Amino acid sequence: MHGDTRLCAAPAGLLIRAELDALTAVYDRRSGQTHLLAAPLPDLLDALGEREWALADFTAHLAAQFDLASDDGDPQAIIAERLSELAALGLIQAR
Amino acid sequence: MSAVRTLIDLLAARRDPATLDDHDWEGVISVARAEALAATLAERLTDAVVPPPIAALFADLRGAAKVQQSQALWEAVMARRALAPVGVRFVLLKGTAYAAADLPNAAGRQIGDLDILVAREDLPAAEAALLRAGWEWVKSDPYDDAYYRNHMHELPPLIHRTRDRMIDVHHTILPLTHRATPDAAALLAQSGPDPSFVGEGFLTLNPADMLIHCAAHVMADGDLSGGLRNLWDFHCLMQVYDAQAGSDIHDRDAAFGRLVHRAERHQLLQPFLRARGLAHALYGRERVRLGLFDRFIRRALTARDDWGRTTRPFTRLAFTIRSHWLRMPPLMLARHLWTKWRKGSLSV
Amino acid sequence: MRHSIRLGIGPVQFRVGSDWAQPVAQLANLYASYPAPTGPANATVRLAAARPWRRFIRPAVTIGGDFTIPDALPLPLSMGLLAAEMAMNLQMALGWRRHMLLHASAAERGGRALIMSGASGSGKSTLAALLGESGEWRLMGDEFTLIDPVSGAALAFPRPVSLKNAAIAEMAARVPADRFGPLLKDTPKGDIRHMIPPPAALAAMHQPALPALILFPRFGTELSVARIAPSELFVRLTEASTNYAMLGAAGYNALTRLVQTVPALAVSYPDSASGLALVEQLWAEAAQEPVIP
Repeated sequence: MHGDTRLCAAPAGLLIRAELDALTAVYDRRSGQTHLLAAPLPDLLDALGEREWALADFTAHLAAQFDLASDDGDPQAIIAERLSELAALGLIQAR
Repeated sequence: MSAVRTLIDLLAARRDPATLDDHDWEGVISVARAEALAATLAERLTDAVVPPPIAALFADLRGAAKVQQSQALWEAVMARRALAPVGVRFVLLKGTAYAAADLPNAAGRQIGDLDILVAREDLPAAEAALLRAGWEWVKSDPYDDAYYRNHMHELPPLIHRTRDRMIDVHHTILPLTHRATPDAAALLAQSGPDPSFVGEGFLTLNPADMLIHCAAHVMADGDLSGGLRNLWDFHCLMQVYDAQAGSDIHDRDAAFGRLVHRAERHQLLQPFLRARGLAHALYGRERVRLGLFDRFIRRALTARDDWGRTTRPFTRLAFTIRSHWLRMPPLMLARHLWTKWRKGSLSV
Repeated sequence: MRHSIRLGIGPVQFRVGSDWAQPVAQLANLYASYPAPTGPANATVRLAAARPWRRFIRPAVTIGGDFTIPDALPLPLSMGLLAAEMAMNLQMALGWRRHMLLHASAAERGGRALIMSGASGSGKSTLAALLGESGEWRLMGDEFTLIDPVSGAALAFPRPVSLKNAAIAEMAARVPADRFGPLLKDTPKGDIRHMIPPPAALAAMHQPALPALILFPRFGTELSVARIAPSELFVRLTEASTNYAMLGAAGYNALTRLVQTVPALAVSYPDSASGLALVEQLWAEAAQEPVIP
């Protein structure tokens, strides 16, 4: 992914979510699949909401809301990794 | 009357469900399950008067089929997400196509693998993109792998590593070594867009090609297993095609002429006409006289007892051998069958 | 098929066809005290000879029906009853779509259900059978528990309890001989003997019960109890279900509701007596806990 990659989450009505202690269960009506997501994946889904984002804008949006400073490296790269996981599950599209 | 004949008569709406007793229902359901037609029957009889336990079972089958169908369509969505970025265009085939196009035989239809058609020159790009997106090769032995790539009409089978579902990528609709050589480029060129599914449009074969493809697999595929269902698909597709042709006799004749012409183009006229005759004999309104060979085929297709077991082993064996003969030149056939036999996988 | 019998257990009506008389006769004995089956079968079992001559020469029973698995090894005719029971389990595991199937035993007390999930050897069947003999509990099932996706209730599926090895003697000490099927020695799973559920359990087999406690028992180690969080319970139960993935949103909603409202514990115990005592204690404690809405 790069800064211009377009991100789009599944419309909220297509997912059924249930909070279970440490994990969030998500049922995707389209695929019939059940996913168990650990933080921060559910939060990323929430933050993506219903609109389309460019990765760079999304990273900036997250930075404004959360403390993204870390010693592990470039925040955008780390977010991109997490978003790739969501894309592999089919819960978001990244193109 | 045998359970398999009763099933056929129920699908064809020639038999009133209210005339079946418990014993009849048991036989029909076992045969339907064996022929992958159980949920199809349940859909056909949605509004029929049936005993409450059967109604409950039919509701189970319809519900399960709907879940299964969305899972199958999702595979097409994920395939598109993998292939669109690399510019590989693909056409949906078989069950997934029927579902995406919302055809009458889609309701209740069991869908196994995702079958797609791509241009032959796109195969390497398609293979690479699918592997990157999480599909992997189903384990196979080297002989089968070479056979697939060199002689079959598809990539060796791929299965998705987390979703555990298979995709078959074809570049033509019949094996290369088959005695007919369909015009693959024409298939792709004349495919059409569909009512979109979850906002993503899919391509399917045009109605004529879809019928011809269906017919090709009735006769050319395996040992006629799944034949009753293939012919049910054909019957439903044919009804749609005829309905679209309109009521004017000239329009209908012209439409049928186009179909025949198209079948000839793909060198599949004989299988098409055969499928049409058989589908009509099984599921059509009027009684039809079948030729000797077609009666033999019908006998093989209806070789099930009331417990769902296959019967008439010699008829079925005749078709196993014949189907291999159809697919391969005789020299290759001997070698292939010998290798399969040695490994113990040829069975009646 | 030459010989056949119909059996009704809970919502399932089986028809069992067989190439031999013996398995059908044994089933007739084992299920003699069950309420008569009603209506057409919704599951079909076929016990067939692998090849025509195997009907007579070293007779071998293939486990078949509407649903089969490839490469299943046939059993000798002497174990025909086991083949029948396995084939019935297979039809359920592969074909049942009306309820969520859990690989679990269940017992009911005061209208609420105790569900015990585990693989073979966990002790779930023996514990349930023992509870069923205590007079305070109704045995609902030893192998499969059905969960209604709409109501969340557990449904009874009281097949003859499949007792293995040491458990046979343990139950034989408490239960009259006429409630046992034949002893099947040296099966692939050791010695097996089927125990007919108590008459009261069979009479009440259509009564559902709301789950109140889920246990994951482990037999043969020191007494211990550990809480299982809902997320872990969710994973464990999907692993224990053969048909969860086929039920769609209904299955998901039923399972999330179950894990969010029913407490779950992993328990281990050294022997049946202490296991039973532990279960009774945990049940009493669960009954006092406020129910999460």
